[in-house]
Amino acid sequence: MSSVSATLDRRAILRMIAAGAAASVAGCKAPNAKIYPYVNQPENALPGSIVRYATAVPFAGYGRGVTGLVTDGRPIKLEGLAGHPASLGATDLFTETALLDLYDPQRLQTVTGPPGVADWQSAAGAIHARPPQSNRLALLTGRVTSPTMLAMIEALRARYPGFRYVAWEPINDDNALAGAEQATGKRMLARPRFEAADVVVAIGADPLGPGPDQVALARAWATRRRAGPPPRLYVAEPSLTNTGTMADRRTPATSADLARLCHRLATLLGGEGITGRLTPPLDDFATHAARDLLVARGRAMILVGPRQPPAMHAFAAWANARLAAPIDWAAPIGGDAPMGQGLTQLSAALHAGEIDTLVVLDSNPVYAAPAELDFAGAIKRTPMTIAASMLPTETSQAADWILPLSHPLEEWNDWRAPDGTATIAQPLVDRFYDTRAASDVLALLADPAADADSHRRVRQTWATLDGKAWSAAVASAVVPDSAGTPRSMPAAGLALPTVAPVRGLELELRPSPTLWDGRRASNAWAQECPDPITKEVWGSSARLNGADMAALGLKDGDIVDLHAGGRSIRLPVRITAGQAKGVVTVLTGYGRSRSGAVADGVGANAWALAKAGDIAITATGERRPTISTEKQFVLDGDLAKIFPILAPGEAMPKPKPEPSLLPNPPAKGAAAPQWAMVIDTDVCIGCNACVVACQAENNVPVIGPDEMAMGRDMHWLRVDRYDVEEKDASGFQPVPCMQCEKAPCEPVCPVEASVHNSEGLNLQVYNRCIGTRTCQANCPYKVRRFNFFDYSERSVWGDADDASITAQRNPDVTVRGRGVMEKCTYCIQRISAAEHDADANHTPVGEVVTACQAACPTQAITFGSIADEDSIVSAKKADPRHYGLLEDLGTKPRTTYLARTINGEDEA
Amino acid sequence: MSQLFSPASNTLARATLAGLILSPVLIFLIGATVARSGFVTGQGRFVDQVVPFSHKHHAGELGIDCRYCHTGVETQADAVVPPTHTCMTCHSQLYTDADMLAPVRESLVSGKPLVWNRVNRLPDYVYFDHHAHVNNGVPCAACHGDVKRMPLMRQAAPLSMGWCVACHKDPEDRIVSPAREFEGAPYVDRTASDRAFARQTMAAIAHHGRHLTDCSTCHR
Repeated sequence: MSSVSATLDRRAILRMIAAGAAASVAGCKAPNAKIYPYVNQPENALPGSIVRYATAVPFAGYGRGVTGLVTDGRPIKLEGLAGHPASLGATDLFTETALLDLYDPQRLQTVTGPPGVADWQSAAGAIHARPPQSNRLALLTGRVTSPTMLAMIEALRARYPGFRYVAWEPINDDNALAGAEQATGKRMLARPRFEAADVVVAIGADPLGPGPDQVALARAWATRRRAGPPPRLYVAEPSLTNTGTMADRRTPATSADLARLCHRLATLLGGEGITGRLTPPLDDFATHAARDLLVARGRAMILVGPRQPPAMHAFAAWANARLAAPIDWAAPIGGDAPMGQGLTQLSAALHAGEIDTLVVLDSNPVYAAPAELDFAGAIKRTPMTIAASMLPTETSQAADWILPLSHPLEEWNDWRAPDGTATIAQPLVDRFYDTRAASDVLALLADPAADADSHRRVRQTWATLDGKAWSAAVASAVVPDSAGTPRSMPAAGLALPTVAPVRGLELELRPSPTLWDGRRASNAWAQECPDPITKEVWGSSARLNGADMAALGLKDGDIVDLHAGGRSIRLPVRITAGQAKGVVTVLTGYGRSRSGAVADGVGANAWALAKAGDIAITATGERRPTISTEKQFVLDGDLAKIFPILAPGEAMPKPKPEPSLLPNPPAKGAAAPQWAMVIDTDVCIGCNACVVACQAENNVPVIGPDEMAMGRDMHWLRVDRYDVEEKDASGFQPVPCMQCEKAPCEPVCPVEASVHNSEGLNLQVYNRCIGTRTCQANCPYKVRRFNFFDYSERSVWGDADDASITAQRNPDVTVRGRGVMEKCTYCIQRISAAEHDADANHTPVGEVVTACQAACPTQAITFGSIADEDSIVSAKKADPRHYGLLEDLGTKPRTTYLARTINGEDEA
Repeated sequence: MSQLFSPASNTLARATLAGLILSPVLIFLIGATVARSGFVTGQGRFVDQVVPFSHKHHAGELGIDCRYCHTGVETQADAVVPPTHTCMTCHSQLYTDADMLAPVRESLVSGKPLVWNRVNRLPDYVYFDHHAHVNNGVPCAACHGDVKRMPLMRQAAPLSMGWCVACHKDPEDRIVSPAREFEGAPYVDRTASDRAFARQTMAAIAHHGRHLTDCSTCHR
């Protein structure tokens, strides 16, 4: 864990005095005194302007199309790519944070071997010093969907017959595949078509939550939700997820409850489950869910989460066949071998000394493999281990040779999306360091003289595309018509999960929505992004139900030891809304070690408990709550105004116009655009893509855990979460600056740094601000952020030289200094760019898309001018569900909301 | 006992009283004058360059169009300082061994850019857009002065906020017809078409509700 807060001793003070004196001299020199033009400017280059290129970045092995915004050769932002099926023009958190990895000062920059710093040639020499014996060579990768890499692995198999290859992801589809096989004999994955689903019953599933297909699923779900008749989402889950928050009806459930629920649903759908007793709420849930499923036959489905046992997947396959559910089936891309079993066998072979050379390519088994495999010991036992990764990991630190991988944006790549669509990704920037692409490393295994030419290798894979087709595929980052065709599923037999007897507490392991399996743990944006449910940053607590906490005599923030299977981890506990009684939920991805200043020591490694069953908790007597950006408390009476819940078709009451002595120029029909935003809380899934998109676009600094603990959060956009108990509903509410027409922050500023412009924007003039913070105190929405220290100049990257981070910054946005108030201004740089283009070309102002709007997977954010009555945002403002936050204060916010709806029970 | 106060004391007392009143005014006046002078704003300042490029020779005497080198000026915010290759379009043929041009040839061979010292400098928090000005009748000379008569580039305007805002408040007299935008001294002898284009531009600004004195026009 790293910190930007200085602890002062005498030497530190002397250092600062000296630095201050030096800075006061150096500070007189203007910073932008030099101009560096090109030597040979590329044709059509626009120095200083932002140019957009289509490319892709991987997540969990799948490719995801992105639009890279590049200025002067530096990618400064990743946005969605409309033509790519896994992006659909939007991004998710993992796509947004991928950019920071490119500039991460912790990146591996050189080949390191037993003699120390080395080069690629000596690494190749070491690999081939003893020609690898075919059956004593092993390769471990993550999920591989890249046609180029798959072909190269096949070539390696031909070159080294008997060589062991294992593809392994800690978060995998093993259970889903095994369940499908159990039910139908085919190893296939279900791909739900939410756009055609009236009723969805999610059993321990989080389709709207983080994952490789989040954007596509969330978009389809939102599309269906906007169309009539109102759909209904049932969720039974052990702990609250994004999907659970968006449910029309949700019930917390232990794993035994989920199994019983499957039995009951099977019975109600016409099969034969064991008829055990269900708790009344679960019984009611099952009855209603089954009724709705049967009524909506052909437009209803049951989803089971990837972590649920295979038998539950088998049940879902049977039920969905019976319901004629809108589900496509597809064979997994890159092979359907069980990943967990593959890793276990590999580990056994390593321990048995059957492997001489182990190559680990962009995978981190030492951290994430089940603890009983003792992968660190397995590597120690192996004569030579070669680990290739972009950032230091536990595995690379344990290996003999460390090979630095390039960032995906530095190389030519190809991947497939979860639906099979192939994408060809062009580099946006030259390699920063002496790194190579993953495909180059594979080439090196076959041939010590292999070059680092990822372009040639990808071009070879797609040799069937002629020059024109290749150019088109690169320019659009999508190979046309390359998606897999959905397979039909043979009739499934009914299989049901066993109901495990209830003992003590059970453990639920969930991927972190920000760090996933740990692969984003070194990413400072990801660490500082609040968890959607608990709003925790820089760490994560074990989540428990309040009753369990009381029974154990624990309070929020108490540090406990979680014991399972002879191992234990130490974490603070937290009462979490919607947690099932008897379930302890821990997020994976934390507790990294030897992986750099950002990741090290944050939280505890939940993978250590991965395969353990029941769990015991012992208090340590210590207390240290995990940092959270939001206190959870009960709102007295105001909730209906802040986060109203409507039934489908219901309208918000019309607000009474408040009398005001202030002049109020009409926004409608004004000559200048009048910017406004509408956020639809009914489809906001709380994924945080907007939060980090805003951070990347607007040069929002990372401040580190210590500053976060002081409540100095710098995110310009936050996502609030509400539970409305009377309505049994919950939801998310993103809160950027409201751009109040009657802004309370403006009259209190002594230097007029907070002023309005003629387009309805509440401006913050950074160069005028003297930092009295009066505006922040006077803002009822608490959206103003104060730069207490010179956060942009401070580093959370430890001792690493963090100059590379500055290359990510958006040149069109001021980098704010110390003592300055900052906030959202609707991406004013994008508005200005559009207006200047309109001025110069004598055209109307074109469409302006804010960074948060561009990122949103469900298109919950609408932005535009309300001066134009035909604009989409004007139409949204006229929606019956429209309301303003704290409207009765008379602030006349320009950012407004559409109310959340719950399609509850129709009591007929 | 001698006199405590000499006859000069009265004068001294009067002068002191007057000075007490006048000196703050004087300090203010001097300060305001210095702040507006070239000493602080840099107006009139010549900057040494690694190659003593003469706009007078190239743009004035030879008549090379501004846009031949500053290619971005009509299409984007940044006017663009030309790449070495632009220099070499002519200088691969002309003055091929001039000592003065040695850094240019070196840049071409080494691939390292020529490093120019900025003349017209705006603070980091000011965002100026060339194409929004140039395409609306604001001539180069409005900010850069009569470049065609500058042997070495000189900062022609104070580039202070007051100076920018003065024009943003009332740009009409600063706007010329597109045909005269790249002239050295377009404000000398304003033509009827200049005035017509200026009126037309002012009407467009009003029609689109553009409020040129909004803080957000230049600051973000």
